[in-house]
Amino acid sequence: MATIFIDQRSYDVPDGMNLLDASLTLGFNLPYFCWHPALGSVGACRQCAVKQFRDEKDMRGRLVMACMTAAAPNTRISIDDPDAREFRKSVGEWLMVHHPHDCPVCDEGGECHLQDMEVMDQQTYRRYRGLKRTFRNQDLGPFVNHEMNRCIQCYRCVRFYRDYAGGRDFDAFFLRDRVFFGRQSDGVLESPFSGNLVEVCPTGVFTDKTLKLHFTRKWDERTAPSICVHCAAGCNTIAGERYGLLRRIRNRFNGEVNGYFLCDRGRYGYEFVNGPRRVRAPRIAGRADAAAPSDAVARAASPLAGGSGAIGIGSPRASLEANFALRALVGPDRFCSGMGAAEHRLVSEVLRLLQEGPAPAASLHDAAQADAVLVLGEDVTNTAPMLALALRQSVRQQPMKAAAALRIPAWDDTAVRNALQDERGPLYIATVAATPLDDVAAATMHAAPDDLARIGCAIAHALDQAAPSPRGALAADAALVGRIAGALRAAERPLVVAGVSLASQAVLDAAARVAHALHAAGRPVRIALVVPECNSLGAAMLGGCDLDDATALLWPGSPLIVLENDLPRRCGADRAARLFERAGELVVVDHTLTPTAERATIVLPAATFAEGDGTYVNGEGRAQRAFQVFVAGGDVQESWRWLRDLMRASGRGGAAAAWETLDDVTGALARELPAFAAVRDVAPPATFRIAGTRIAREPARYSGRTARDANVTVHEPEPPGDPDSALSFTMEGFQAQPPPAQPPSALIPRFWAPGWNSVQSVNYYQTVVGGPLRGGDPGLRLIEPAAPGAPAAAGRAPSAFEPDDRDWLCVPMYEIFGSEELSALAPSVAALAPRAYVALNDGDLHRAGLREGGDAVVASADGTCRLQVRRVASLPPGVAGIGVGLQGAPWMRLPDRARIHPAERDR
Amino acid sequence: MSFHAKMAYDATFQKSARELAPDDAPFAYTPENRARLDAILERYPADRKRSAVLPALYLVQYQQGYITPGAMRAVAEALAITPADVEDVVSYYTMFHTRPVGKYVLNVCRTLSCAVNGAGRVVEELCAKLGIRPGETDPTGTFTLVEVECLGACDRAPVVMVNDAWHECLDPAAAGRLVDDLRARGEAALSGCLHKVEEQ
Repeated sequence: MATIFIDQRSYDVPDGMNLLDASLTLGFNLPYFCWHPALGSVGACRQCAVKQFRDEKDMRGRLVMACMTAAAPNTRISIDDPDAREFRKSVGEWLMVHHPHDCPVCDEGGECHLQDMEVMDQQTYRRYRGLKRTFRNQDLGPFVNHEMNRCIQCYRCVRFYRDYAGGRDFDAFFLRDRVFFGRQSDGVLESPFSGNLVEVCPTGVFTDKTLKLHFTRKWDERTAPSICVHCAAGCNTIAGERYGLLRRIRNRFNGEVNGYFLCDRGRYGYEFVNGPRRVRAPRIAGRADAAAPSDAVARAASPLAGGSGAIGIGSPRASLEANFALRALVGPDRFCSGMGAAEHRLVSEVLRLLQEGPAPAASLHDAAQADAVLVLGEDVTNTAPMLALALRQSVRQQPMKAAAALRIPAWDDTAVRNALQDERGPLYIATVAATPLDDVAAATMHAAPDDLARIGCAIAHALDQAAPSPRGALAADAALVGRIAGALRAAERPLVVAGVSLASQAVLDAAARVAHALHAAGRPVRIALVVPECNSLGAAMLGGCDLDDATALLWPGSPLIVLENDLPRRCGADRAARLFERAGELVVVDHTLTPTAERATIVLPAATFAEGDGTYVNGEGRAQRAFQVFVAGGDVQESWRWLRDLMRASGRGGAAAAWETLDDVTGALARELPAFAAVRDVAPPATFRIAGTRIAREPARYSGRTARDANVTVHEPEPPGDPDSALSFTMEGFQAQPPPAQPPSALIPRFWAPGWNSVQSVNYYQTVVGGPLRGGDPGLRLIEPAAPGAPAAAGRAPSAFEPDDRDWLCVPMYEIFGSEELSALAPSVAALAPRAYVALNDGDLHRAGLREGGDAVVASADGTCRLQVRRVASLPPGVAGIGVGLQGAPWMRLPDRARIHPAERDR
Repeated sequence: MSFHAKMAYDATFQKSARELAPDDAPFAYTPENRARLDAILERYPADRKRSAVLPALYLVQYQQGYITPGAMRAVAEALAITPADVEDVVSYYTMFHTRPVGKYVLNVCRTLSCAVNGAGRVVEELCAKLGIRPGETDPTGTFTLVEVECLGACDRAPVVMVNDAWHECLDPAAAGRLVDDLRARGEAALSGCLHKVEEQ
């Protein structure tokens, strides 16, 4: 703690802060532009000037930049000093010289940091009468709109895009008053984190291009705290709606998970909610018109009432509550997790590793803090994008120690970067092919899955002689293995990253062995295991069988209930068709008309994450609640309510049939399954009140509430009630604002503070700027490793991969845009999704007689398919990568051996 | 060059009768220049090729007079960086030309020391002599006149840099003679200057 004096009053602030951090943490209004809590200080904009005094006798003082001055003990400053105010005001005036007065037509208006700061500076009138400089804007792709005339040259965009996120196609050009931020030529921004420019830019240069298609002001959006459903990272989001349309996704700060940023899949995948494939009314096969909900439920329930036999197929993309309701309807023995056999086995293995330990799961925050990392088999940029962004920060941890030795504070970004240059800490990446994270790796290795496992085993063996040593030659050289083991052993916070994406038990085992060996050596190792979907771990925790077992369990003619799941994606069209044929009634509860729903005899329209509350367990084992944003039109309701209705109509489910609210469901879940005991505490119950009232989803300035539905009725309809959460659907209730009365962090529907309308207002909700939210970051970890931890995996390292001269080993490859089911339904994401492909290296292309860009036929045990040929030079010989989940890609079991030949030969 | 917002830089700066290469015109170093670039690249570690971006761009400029988008892409490829990285540098430095310039680029320093020693009169003389304004190229495509900031020769102000060579302590008459000399003797006129940029 350091005592500093601001305007002659003393304050205690944590050590190592700068004056801007300290002032904002203490709640002062000090304007700034170029500083960002995640990006540090560069002292470029001169907006945060304060007057510093030598001691109590110094009356003159001198102007300093708060962001560049350490908050050392006994620092005396004045924020209110007339000279400092005048200086800040003049900076505000310069910045406005070229800034257009187009706020009413600018998407940023009303949530613009520049607007806020100009008001704070009391810079009201413009004296400049000259012409303004103008630019030609660029088309930066489907996500980000570019309007350079509004730029105030704070450089935050390049600092985020290049320094923080590692993008290389975006830069600052020209100099002086002509500085231009953009690409060398028009084109899609290549970084998968480009959408963060929208929030990093303090004004309207970069705005959300998808929001533009259905624009709504921030104050006209009804918002709720939500969770991203497009991968297992579980990033916290704020989802905004108006007129029944989900308008956009913004970041919701969670210090343990996503911090200030989101990936583009998470930010732009939301449009599936508004998509044309949505189901909004019950459908009964053979009837052209929509069915009444009561008819559909009665018809679906009648075969259930007869007795047992119904199989329920859950889903790793549905909430815990929905899966649990299905489990209650069909019984634990007839509940399927909704995952294919291989995926079910591997995700269960991940769950076992996290439960038994010894290494605890790493949050994204832990990953960013790690000072030595081994990535084994996982292309994290495409399977858990925000983990890749965290790992990009981890390589700074070790060099930062050198900066600290030079007494450079961590927040002094320019000085730190000058001191560190290109120094990077140990990040070792062993994957099948090159990944977008390779540019910051100390070394990369590319090998077949079994060879990756062997490298992992060799590292484990180097760390702990008790671990089995792989026999024969390795795909990486021994010196490198020794270096990796040395770096992990020497680290203060080592991290092992692996996952299920290669569908390889051997790789998972090897990662566990490395973690175990590090633990045995007394190192505080953490492990990050990537699972595929937003609730994969939750579905695995509920138990249940896999899809193969479910097929075997299903008696011909028995009803099959499928919850938010598209089975052909999981087990292939043929198997799914056999399952459907075998089933009697096929009841699908889903929000989207998937191929499975098209086959259904009855479809019940389910709520998406934005239309119903639900709890999701991310890959770290953290349970987080996504709150309903709006009431969907039509007969849409939460999946668990449809399943509850089926219980009531069929007389099954026992006590579960009496569920009325979400708290009833989570309460029953917590009672029935001890692993979920904490799930009730993930968010305050629906009975929670703050200042005696609910928390309002609509901001106080929400406009047109009495006129909004005037095209339907001139009477203002009664607002919908919310039995499931402590949020209200209107502006009545507690308006989110920082202390003294701040909502519990899980229930913050939006960030706003007096004078702070932009995303920067989150500063006032944190214990210290950039630190956790007051009251703790939302979400609860359900899984902690048991002490003293499980013994190391038994068995030997796998034998080396032998390329076959006729067949290729096909392994899955993932795409951030396209591989995930729901985000691929969003037009902006779909626009960047590649065609289904098979990838080979140059030698193999030649051997197979294939041409890059041509078509190939891939023939495996699961049938043949025609795929576009992609050249990936880094793939090992004898290994082919198959893009999974992409449009036009038929399901095939991966990894598997397959023949590959040019499509021309087919004709 | 002007700071005035009314003046569109692109319209007048380095205006020339010569044809602009289209954006997508490919660029390739001549074998000699490629050899020189390779020699320069040898000075840097293989993963730090980007350190050679300035000499690589000068080689482009020696070869074709100015730097086209295609050339930026070629440089990016040669140095294993992105075209954005290259244009960042090209657009920042006034010494790099993105449009055709005359055979001789007269860079007149207008920063303080040169200004108080009469750089303004030197510019006037050159304008009158060549019949162009600063930022323009004469109709023959021989001379481009540019006003630049400090050239680092304040002790011998005012200074005019012609292509790579400084010509120092110039008064208007001397500047006029310099132009005549360049017209009469061409490249040879540059050899008499006090300093010359070291050959890359």
